[in-house]
Amino acid sequence: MIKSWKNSVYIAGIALFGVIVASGSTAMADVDVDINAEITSTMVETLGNDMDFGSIELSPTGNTIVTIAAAGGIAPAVADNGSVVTPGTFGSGLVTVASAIDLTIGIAVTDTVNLSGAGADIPFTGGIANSTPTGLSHTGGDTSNIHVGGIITIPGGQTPGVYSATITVVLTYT
Amino acid sequence: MLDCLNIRLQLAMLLTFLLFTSPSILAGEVSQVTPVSIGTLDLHPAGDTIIIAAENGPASPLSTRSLVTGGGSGLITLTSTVVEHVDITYPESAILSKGAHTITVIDISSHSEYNATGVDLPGGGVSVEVSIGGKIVLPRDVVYGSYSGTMSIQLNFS
Repeated sequence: MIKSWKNSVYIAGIALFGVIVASGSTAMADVDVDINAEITSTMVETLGNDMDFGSIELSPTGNTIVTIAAAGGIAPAVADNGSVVTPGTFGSGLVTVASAIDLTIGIAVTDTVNLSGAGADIPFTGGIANSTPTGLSHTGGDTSNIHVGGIITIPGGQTPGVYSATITVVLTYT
Repeated sequence: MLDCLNIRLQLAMLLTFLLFTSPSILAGEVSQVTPVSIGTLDLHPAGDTIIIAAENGPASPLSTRSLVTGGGSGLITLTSTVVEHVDITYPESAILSKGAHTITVIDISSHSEYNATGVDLPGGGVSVEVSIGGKIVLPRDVVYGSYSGTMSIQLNFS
């Protein structure tokens, strides 16, 4: 008898889930829901190599124009006026873009700049016209190449030596 | 013997109280909660908008131009022993944090189930699932990493 009463006590003592309300009324409860997000990017922009016009043996008379025509891809330096180019390791410059997603790449290259060195400055021009055109279509998973070229105009009798400058390639994405 | 009698009398009083008060009804309960997950996002460099459109049920995150892996709508499971109606009030937005950096989930109500109508529980212990979604607009300069947060959903049982 005593044992059966004790069992009844245990049943009455069990906690009740939910909300107990009187009939005909309402009850409110708040439930917390977590939210999470992992944001990453697989895009990598890399300078493959600088632009190098190489070693130029100038013709003794007149100006020499050396062109790296890279709008269609990798290109060497080519001189006119009988001047001779001994190529460097590279001709056109190279920037690469790798990404797992599809992109359209806007390309803005420095169009003009002066190379400075042993003698008077040597003008560089035609950076935009001689580089990969803007609006390059990139397929996710691939690596896209952006080739950079231009033209230097060397006056006759230019002082021999090393001349250099820095150009900027700005990439935008849509 | 006297002790036994006292115990029995106390139990009788307890049972009487339960029988003669106004009838109490157990409201529904939340038996399961699953987080909302945007998944792992390879974000387009110009930024993007990610939507989990769960207004009609479970949904995966969708983006216009980024790559989304995994993720899915959140879920709460409601159960009741009796027939009742539940009105659901979603927050307008929720903030996710990564240290000092934050992003915001918006349009939670419009991308989650039963936001306007509420949901009817059939009783008898039968469960009803409610899917939860939202939208997140990520700018191009968002700081990469793991973001997390919590939103509070109000349930009104009647």
